[in-house]
Amino acid sequence: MSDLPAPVRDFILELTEDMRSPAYMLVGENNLLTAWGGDWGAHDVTGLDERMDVSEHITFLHGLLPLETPNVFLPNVQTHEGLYADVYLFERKEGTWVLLLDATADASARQRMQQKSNVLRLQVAEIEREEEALYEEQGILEAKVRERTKDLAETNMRLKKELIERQRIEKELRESEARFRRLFESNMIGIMFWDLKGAITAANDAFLDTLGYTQDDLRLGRVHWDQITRPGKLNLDEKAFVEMRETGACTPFVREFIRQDGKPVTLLFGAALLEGSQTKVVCFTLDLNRYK
Amino acid sequence: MMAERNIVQKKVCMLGTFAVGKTSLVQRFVQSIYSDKYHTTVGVKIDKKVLDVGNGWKMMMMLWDIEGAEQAHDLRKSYLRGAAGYLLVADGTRRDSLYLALEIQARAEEAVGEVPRVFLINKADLADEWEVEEREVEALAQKGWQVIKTSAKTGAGVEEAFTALARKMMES
Repeated sequence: MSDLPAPVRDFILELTEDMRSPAYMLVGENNLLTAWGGDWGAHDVTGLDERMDVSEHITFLHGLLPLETPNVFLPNVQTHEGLYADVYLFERKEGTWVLLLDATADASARQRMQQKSNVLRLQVAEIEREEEALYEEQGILEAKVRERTKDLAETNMRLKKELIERQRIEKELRESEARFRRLFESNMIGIMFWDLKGAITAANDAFLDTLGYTQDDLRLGRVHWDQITRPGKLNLDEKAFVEMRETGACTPFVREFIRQDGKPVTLLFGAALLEGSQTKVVCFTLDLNRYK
Repeated sequence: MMAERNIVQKKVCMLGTFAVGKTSLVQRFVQSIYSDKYHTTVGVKIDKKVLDVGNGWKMMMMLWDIEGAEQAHDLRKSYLRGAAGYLLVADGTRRDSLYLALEIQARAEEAVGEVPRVFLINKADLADEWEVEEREVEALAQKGWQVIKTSAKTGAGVEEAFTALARKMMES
């Protein structure tokens, strides 16, 4: 400052006096006020009195006096609601000087900027927290999707295996049916299906021919167990039924049947329960007279 | 004038990062009021309140509500000169405010040495939103801190916090 020309120094002084309402005090031993001046009213400080203990009267000076360092600067001290001052304390041989310069405009501008900045920071922090929560939730969802995908893949694999197994069984069944159909249609032996109530549901030509019936007779319900069997042989049938229930099939035995024209015919007869049934039976017959 | 002889003045600083509720705690303690509106403090605002500290003594507590420091080195040490104690404030809903408070405390100790202090974890009314976990509170207590959960909004723990610090200052 020493090389500043007097007009400049005077201008700075005038500017400071106009813009910043300087107020000062000189504090002596025991924090006693020895001199003061300037615009204390602008800083809402009143009631100054000579020889008063300023550390008790002026709140922001409590604890600061005597100074432990040559000078202290307290920026933006709120001296009253809406009033701010920059407070300077500096030590000289005559005592401690306290200088206040109004900082309201600067503090207010800073307050507005800081307010916006802090609100923005809080919003950013909130967004970061929400993002973190979303990432966490996303992680949980992804884990669930992975687990579900794994379950579906396993189910898919199981279904494929089941499908292959089913196709294999169906193929075997078709082959088995084809083999049986070949036997049934070859008419090498008589074959018929019947239930234990007496209804004959299917029979091949070999069986029907032996008893003098046709497929039309069968379709029209003219072929019935009671009609083609002779009463009096029930003991053999009963024995065969018991064996079928126990083992699924009976040992073939010779029994007499009645042809449509009433003549008896002796046939080798064997029967087996259809799988899963206790009433439906498949039978074969063989006309032994042909081989005599 | 017996009462005046039995009154002591103590400077107390409110320290912590921004928006943890330092100003709201002072307002709740001094004026029994609370506002939900956030208002940033710049510089320092000084309030005072007289407390009964027992044995016929009263304490004039000079409360220096210092602007929140974004980082520890932002704390202006000159504000702390002559402080007889301080309240370190964190926001329970912001974990980072707790660890920043500890950094600020280290800087404060450089300025005023080991003076009585109490750790306040504010916003107890938002307990469901807290990031600070109980184990962290216990860890502070194990390090010798008196930790008090406060709510400037409801007033919970506020009187207790200032009184606890006042007693510590009377004992020191």
